[in-house]
Amino acid sequence: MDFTNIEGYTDIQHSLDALYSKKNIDFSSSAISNGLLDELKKAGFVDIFNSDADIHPLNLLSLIFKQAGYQGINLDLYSFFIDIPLIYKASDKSNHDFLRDHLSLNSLITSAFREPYQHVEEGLQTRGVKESNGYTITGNKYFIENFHQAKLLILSFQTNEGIKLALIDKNRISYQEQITTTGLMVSQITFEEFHISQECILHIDSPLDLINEIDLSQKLIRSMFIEGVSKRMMEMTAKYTAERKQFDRPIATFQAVSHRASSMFIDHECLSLVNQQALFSLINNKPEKENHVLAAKAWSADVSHRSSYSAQHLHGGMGVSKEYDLWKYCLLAKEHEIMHDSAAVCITNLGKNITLNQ
Amino acid sequence: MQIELNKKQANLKIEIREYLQDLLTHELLKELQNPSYFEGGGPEFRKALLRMGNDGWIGLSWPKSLGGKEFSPIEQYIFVEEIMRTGFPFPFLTTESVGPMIANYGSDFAKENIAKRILTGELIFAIGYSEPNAGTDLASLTTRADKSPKGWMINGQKIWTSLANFADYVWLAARTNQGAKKHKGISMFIVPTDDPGFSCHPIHTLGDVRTNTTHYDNIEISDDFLVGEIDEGWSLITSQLNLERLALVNHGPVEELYLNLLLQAKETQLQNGMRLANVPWVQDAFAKIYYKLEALKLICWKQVWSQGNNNFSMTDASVAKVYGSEYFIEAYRMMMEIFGELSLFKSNQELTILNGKLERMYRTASILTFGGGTNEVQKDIIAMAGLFLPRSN
Ligand SMILES: Cc1cc2nc3c(=O)[nH]c(=O)nc-3n(C[C@H](O)[C@H](O)[C@H](O)COP(=O)(O)OP(=O)(O)OC[C@H]3O[C@@H](n4cnc5c(N)ncnc54)[C@H](O)[C@@H]3O)c2cc1C
Repeated sequence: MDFTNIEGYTDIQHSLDALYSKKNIDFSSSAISNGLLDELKKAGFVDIFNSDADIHPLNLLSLIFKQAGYQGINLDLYSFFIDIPLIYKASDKSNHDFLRDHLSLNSLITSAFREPYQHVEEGLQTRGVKESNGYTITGNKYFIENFHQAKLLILSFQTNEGIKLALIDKNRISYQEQITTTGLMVSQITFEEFHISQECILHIDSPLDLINEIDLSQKLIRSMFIEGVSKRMMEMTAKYTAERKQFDRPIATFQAVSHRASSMFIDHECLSLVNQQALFSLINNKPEKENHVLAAKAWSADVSHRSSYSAQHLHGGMGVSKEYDLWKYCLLAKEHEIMHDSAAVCITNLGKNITLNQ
Repeated sequence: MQIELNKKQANLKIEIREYLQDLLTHELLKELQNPSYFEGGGPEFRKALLRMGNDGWIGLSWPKSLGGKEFSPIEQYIFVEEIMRTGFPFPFLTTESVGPMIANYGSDFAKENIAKRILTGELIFAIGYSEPNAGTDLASLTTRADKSPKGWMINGQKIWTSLANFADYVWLAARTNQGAKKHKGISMFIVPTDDPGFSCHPIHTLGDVRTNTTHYDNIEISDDFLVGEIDEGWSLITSQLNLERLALVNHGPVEELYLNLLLQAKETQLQNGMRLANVPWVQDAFAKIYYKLEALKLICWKQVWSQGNNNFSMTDASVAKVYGSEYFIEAYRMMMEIFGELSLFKSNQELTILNGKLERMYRTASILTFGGGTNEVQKDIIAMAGLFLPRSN
């Protein structure tokens, strides 16, 4: 057994920290418009499927997102870093040129996979009906990242022959913008009898496996992000309660305060371990990988919630003032707690897996 | 025993509901969407408050001599519950906690010219307790009131003085005896915000609630503006806070949110043919929200009933405050889980749940766990006064 992981990558961690801690990164602006993606590219973090690298892509992504969480960066690059590279890996060589263009930042592609009420639905609700040359699509996609900056969109939909992925020119689509709780802009598209020609369909051996892999990777990387967020909330709380005095003593000397802060520590420790196990299982394609990832996301959702409210409470008024940075971490915690399934959903699915499928 | 509203009270509830429907005009609702007026203070808000005052709804339980109707605290609670359900930012701390203090302990001048005008909806108060170094340890406050030829000279700084940006007065705690022990030398004052020595600067918060730092620079007021006895302000503060604690956790708004979300979940048809409300784990979550809400409602009802029997205890106020504030946090979380990612959207967008109300509520929830006396101290009170445990140091 060997729990060494993050410790082995301190240089990467330091360079990410240096990059993220630049003062001019606006909290609610997209990582593309505020130049962060360019900076990540300059620092060599974008080419994550470089086969010469001595770090596994998922491990690198874990670091990229965990440190972003720690530095309070609203890194809206989940599609960029997870969906598109995994599609690249799974698709046949005929698709590689434009996907490579994306990774070199020449032409941004985004993905439309999330659907309203997906957390309580089975499978995809966006449907494609076969026609002579392609499909007619009906359905609703949302939480599309960076759509207004993208040139192309990859869309998932259900057909009678299984799941398909199609590449569409962005200019063909009308969309609506929506603002999330962190202030980020995402997009929503309603497809009503929208025609897609056969040439737009990506050649992928098993789209269902790909969609599942994307889902697990999204859950894991979001849990990693939360690990960074909760670590920072815990450290801010420890520092603040050690310095803030009431009744002529640091508030941390009240046992109720130190115990609640200790619970944050225990939570963080559990989260980092289940995250590490899920990362290990996913990298090594272990049979338990799905359960391990669900456990990690359930944990991270719980820890998001508890750490956020403990940190706010133990700070008193300062915890909610926008003159102090904790508020940003609280928003990030909530958004990631709910995105790609809350604890309630992960636990339900885990329960089904354990009792029915295994 | 009668664990329900009696007929008269149930009818009153219906009457208030009908009255409020009419009160919430389109212009008022529009004004309340404006972030600068989330907590009230706009012209339509003022108009509505005046109308409520003129129609005799504010201070139902107040003495007739001051313009009240001498109804029981239960009727008073029903009114506040109903108005809070509508989302109208009713200044309940003025009407429910500061007002009664002035009505009971204020000078004749204050009773006549201030308390009565709270009832007519003309006046709003901000509460000036907290200071940068006096939060939970409120008794260490340093804002001072010194004897002056005309009465009192106020100097100091407060923080988190909510509503001070549009309030007419601040209910202010100031030190009047520098030599006395810290709980002993405090007195309560009514400080006008139109005095040139008063200034106010915004603090913006996570939940888009605006609060303020307030500065008091040589504000001179007469003895008429002193409430209660000199140096005896601490007991007024604790009495006010006991009333505040109950008002803070009124079960109306959260029940309204729950009922609206339940309705939406029943109406939401999933593609698989099911309704959102029929998904087993969603039913479980609604059940948890409901059974815990029942306890909150009963805690609040029992307290107002006890108040009516002059049996209101400090322990009960603390129980309500701790239970209610922690329940809100858990309930909002479960509600967001039920609607998943849709609950993350802000207001005025197509897919937003209840126009972003839930999204905003979760951001304001923590304030009540430390505001109005932090929950750890409330638990100390419960341990001491409820369980008679030895005092912790
Ligand atoms: C939006 C908002 C509106 C507000 N409105 C008003 C207002 O209108 N008027 C007003 O006067 N104030 C107002 N407040 C202030 C509020 O009452 C204070 O925040 C509260 O009293 C806590 O004080 P503090 O923020 O200084 O936290 P601190 O006193 O520093 O306490 C922080 C934490 O330390 C711990 N702690 C402190 N003392 C103890 C102890 N003895 N035992 C165990 N744990 C302890 C608790 O966990 C506590 O939550 C408002 C605050 C906010 C954020």
